[in-house]
Amino acid sequence: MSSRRSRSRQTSSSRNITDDQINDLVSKLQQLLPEIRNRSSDKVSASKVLQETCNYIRSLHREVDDLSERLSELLATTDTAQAAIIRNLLMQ
Amino acid sequence: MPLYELYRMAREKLGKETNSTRAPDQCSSPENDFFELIWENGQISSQGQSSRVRRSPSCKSLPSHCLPSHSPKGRDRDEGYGANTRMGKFGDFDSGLDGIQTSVPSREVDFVQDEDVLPWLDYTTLDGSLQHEYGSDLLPASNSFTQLDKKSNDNMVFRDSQKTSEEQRNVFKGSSDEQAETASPKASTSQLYSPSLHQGQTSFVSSRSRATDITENNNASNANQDASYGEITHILSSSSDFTSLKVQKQDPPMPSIDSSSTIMNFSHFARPAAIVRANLQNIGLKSGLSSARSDCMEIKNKGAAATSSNPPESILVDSSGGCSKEMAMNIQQVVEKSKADMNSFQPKSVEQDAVPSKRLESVCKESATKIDQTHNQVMGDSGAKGQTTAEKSMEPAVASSSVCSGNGADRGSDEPNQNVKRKRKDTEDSECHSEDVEEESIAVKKAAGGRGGTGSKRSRAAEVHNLSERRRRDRINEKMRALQELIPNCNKVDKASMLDEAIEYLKTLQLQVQIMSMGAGLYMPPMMLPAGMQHMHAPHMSPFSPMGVGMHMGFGMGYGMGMPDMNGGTSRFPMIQVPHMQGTHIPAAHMSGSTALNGMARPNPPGFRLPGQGHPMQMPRAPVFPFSGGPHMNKSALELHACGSSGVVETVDSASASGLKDQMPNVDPHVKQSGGCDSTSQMPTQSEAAAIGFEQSALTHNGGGHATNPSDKAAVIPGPSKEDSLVIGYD
Repeated sequence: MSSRRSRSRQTSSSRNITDDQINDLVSKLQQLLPEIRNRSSDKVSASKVLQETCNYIRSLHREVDDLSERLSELLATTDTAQAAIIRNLLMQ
Repeated sequence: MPLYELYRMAREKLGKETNSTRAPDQCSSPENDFFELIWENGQISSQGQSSRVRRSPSCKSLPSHCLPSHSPKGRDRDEGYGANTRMGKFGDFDSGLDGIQTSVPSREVDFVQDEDVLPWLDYTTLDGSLQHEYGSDLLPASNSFTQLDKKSNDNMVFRDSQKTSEEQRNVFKGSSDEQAETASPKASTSQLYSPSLHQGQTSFVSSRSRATDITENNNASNANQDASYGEITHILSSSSDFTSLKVQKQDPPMPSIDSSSTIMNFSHFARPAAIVRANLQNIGLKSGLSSARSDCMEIKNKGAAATSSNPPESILVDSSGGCSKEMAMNIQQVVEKSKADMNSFQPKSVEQDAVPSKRLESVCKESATKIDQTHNQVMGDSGAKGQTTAEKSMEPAVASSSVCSGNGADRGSDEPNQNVKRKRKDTEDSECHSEDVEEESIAVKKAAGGRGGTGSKRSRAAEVHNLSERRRRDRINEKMRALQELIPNCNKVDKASMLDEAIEYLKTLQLQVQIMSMGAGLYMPPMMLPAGMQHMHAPHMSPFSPMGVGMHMGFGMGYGMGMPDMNGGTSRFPMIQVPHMQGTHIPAAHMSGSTALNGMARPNPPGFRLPGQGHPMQMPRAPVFPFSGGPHMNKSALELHACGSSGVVETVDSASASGLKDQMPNVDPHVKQSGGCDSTSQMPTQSEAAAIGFEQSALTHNGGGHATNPSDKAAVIPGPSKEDSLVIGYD
């Protein structure tokens, strides 16, 4: 986290971002993508990573929507203490 | 012309203003395609734009879209992008239509607009009443087609105009011809259109008047569209937008758009399945388009039946739209196989539509011949201008073809086979490919314009180099923007913070999905654990004590649920639920002791029963789940206490007595400790909120938790770890 802060400070101080920073971030991003992460560390172009990120985020959005729907159904149908717990968990 | 210039200026300003706000969930890459075409238009045609200018004021969404068309610079693409995305899902639609319009050279503007009108008209068909109103508009379109043919022919004769425009005209001419053919298999276009003319009382007045009509139509159709498609919002999210855009892009000049547009709904619903490339081969075919066109024509004639026949067509078109980029690649094959493809298409059309197969066949053949003719013509043109120009013209042709219409694509792809192939090698992903094509074409056009048609090899090589570099950068920037669209509340400008944001957001989303899947999993009826899952988690669990096993089972399952989601995005939760069982058994847990726990962890394999070895704190995939395990953790923790030390009954009792909420504290430390180092530290807002919530409960019950720990043999919660977790949570 500290590294991130320092980086952001740095970037704010100097407008132009070095390629290294971008690459660093892209590789970080890459680590979060299951599809690319599992791809045996071959060189993946930045645009590819970004594209995958977009796709992944979209899929996650879909998933979240899906799950929220499902959960709302479940919570609506069940009125138990468990439901309360989950509700708390999700509402926070 | 001065008037037109003035309009252009105003439009640009307007577009910049509108750019500031962007809708999330929009993926913008395809819009560049539009821009390119637009640019061509801007350069080439003044008339069309002027007419469009009028339209823009009436239709709110249009101005922003129109803007990019007027400015030839690549920078404008951004603006166009912003404006388009800003529109939201329907905005995309509009933008697509705009792109279509702009793509046509000035002379054919009438034609294009008419076609543009057509889609909207079909949209209106959704409303039965509206259709009648627009029927009149529709007819003019057909009229314009005939005129278009004439114009295009004229253009063919006069080569003085720019090569790109010529090509486009040729393309359009071909399309119009095909259109005519589809409308009626007979030879002469004028005669062909006559039937349609009969239906329409309104004669082709003038492009301007029609333009105004179009604007009206657009407005009305927008309203209809919103109403009808309002439900779709979530589903539209990612790929569906792309595909819809592509559909429009691909089909622009052709009436088939109508069907596609109406189909949007279906496409959206079909999208989730990610079928985009399924029908590639079928799609690219002009025959398919022609059939769609013929269907449309029939639909128009029938009027009422339009919606019923549309869905199938829409599917076809949609698939084609999704693959539009690949279409360009496949076009060569398509052209070669066009007849075969057409045949394959015929059955579909026959099934889905009332159109007689014979008619389609004849239409297809005619269209094929037409294509050849147009191709030849184009070749002649390019040849006249010289090799260099020919080369350059080819590339634009490719771009225009891919973007504009199936017909154009067919024609364009014929010539630049080598280009297509090369590009195909370039990028695996279709979007990138299309972008490349477009960008390249843009650059080529610019260069060509600057040189006046005669370029030197050296400058060209340099251009290519710059081009590739710029293309790469553009691609990245574009993706960045797309990313920005996807990240809510992201107003960061620089790339680094953008990426930071993206990373954070990704983590948040992953977490959220996990939590939610956990929550959903809790309520799943207890079921069998898939064999794979057991194996997967068995190694992790084996060292743990029975109750530990139970807990881990829960986690493992939860994790299992989460992972597929993250990967595929479509996984249902196939399995589970120990947690549920645990929850029910909690009261009994502390009484029954380890045996009860074993019983609870029903699915656990024999290997799990290694009493007394509990390292309960170790969670198989703890880092992945910071809080997702909350409920599970809670119960499992209780169980742990219970069976870990029978003497701890007190603490357990207190915890259980205090209620579900009280159990939370136990959960919290576990969770924090396990996931704290990794994911918790960078936890995004939502998770933080949840964490804080936990923290509070944890604080209140802190004492209890500590009390249990020492007595517990399993040493469930070390004090320090708890504090750490608290700190992290608040951080």
